[in-house]
Amino acid sequence: MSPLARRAETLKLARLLGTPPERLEFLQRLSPDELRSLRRHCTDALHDTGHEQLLRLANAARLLPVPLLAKLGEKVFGPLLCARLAGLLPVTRAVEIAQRLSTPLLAEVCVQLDPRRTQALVRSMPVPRVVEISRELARRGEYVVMAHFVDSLELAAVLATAAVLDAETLLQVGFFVEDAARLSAIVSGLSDVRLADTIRCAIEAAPELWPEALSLIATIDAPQRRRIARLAAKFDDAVLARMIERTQELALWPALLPLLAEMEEPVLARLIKLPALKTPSVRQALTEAAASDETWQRLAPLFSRMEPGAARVLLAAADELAPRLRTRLEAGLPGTA
Amino acid sequence: MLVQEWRLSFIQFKKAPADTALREGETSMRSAAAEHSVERARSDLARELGLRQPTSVPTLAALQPQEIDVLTAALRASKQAQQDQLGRALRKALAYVPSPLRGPMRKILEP
Repeated sequence: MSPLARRAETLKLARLLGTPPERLEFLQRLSPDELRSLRRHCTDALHDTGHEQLLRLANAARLLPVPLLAKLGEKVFGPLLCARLAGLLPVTRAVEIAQRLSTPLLAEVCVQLDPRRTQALVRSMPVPRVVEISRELARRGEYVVMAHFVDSLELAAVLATAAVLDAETLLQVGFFVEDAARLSAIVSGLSDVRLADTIRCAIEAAPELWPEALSLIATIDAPQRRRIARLAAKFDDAVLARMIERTQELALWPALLPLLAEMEEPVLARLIKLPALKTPSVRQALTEAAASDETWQRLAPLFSRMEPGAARVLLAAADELAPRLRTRLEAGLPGTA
Repeated sequence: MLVQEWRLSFIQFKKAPADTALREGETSMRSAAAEHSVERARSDLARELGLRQPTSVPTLAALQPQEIDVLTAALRASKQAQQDQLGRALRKALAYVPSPLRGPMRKILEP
């Protein structure tokens, strides 16, 4: 999970600073918490630029009628100035103005807003308007911006938005959402069909989004993860095999383990029979990931179902790993000690 | 020849502790310089972040000074770009204000 969380945070910071992410590649050495704190400091520094001047303008704007302000916003101020003023105006007035602005402008304003400073305004926006703006942001590929709003909007507005977005957008946005409880609440609001389609999309239609899907699975709470495990159990063998292959290609076994750990024994039995999971390199990668993870005990049924020959291969591979792993493997594989 | 060898070994004997001390000195100076460089980089970043105390900046212990400098430069450029963009928007706003109000408005908008 941590490498994926670090990647998400680095992308967010690069976007905030208007810098190509490759230029900030070195930030991958920091923890997600350090990166988050750094990003918040940077956000504050950027949003404090010209604060005094904007405060005076906001005070002057209180004297002008709403229709005129909306017209000025649309034709003169532009998105950055509108965004900065939005946080300084009384909420009801800001909502009234926003209601008169066009959707493309509001989407651009959202890109410039700091949702932490405008939470009251964001929460006061009518849900249909939120959905409309979200569609526009999705069309522009502004997933980081959308994720910031997921943390700030009322859950009803987020669920109404999630209902109209496609699976790929849901995964892209979910990758950047910070609040794990909020993400769990959104997943719990999705129907079984929608959720299964979203996960299947990351395996089949858009395999480049498999890391995003794994990040989502690792972030949500155990009951929702269990639900995804139940839904994944209904996938046919070809889809499960693709899931294993993709995980191996991206070396993301540690991120898949929380899902495997929630799978019922019959599903694990199906998995172990898949040719994709019989490859020695796959088994070794899975073993290494499980050995360094607390899910080991819960994955014991998977390992205990391996045929004796495979178990010996696994043990040979384990010889190269820490002695602690050897002990754990022997405990999980009866008859091989 | 013997004398020369003796002189050489004597010189090396005399030189050795001095060399060691010099090397140790250089190492400690280098590490002090590196530490100073990290402190300088963090203090530059703190200034750009608008923090009074450099200690408020995340430790960023895993980063090299030059990497912190890259961050600082990116933040500075981003702040400058925002400032320019805001300045342009404010000037444009001023041009739209009817002339009798332009004076008071200019006063409101001046930095």
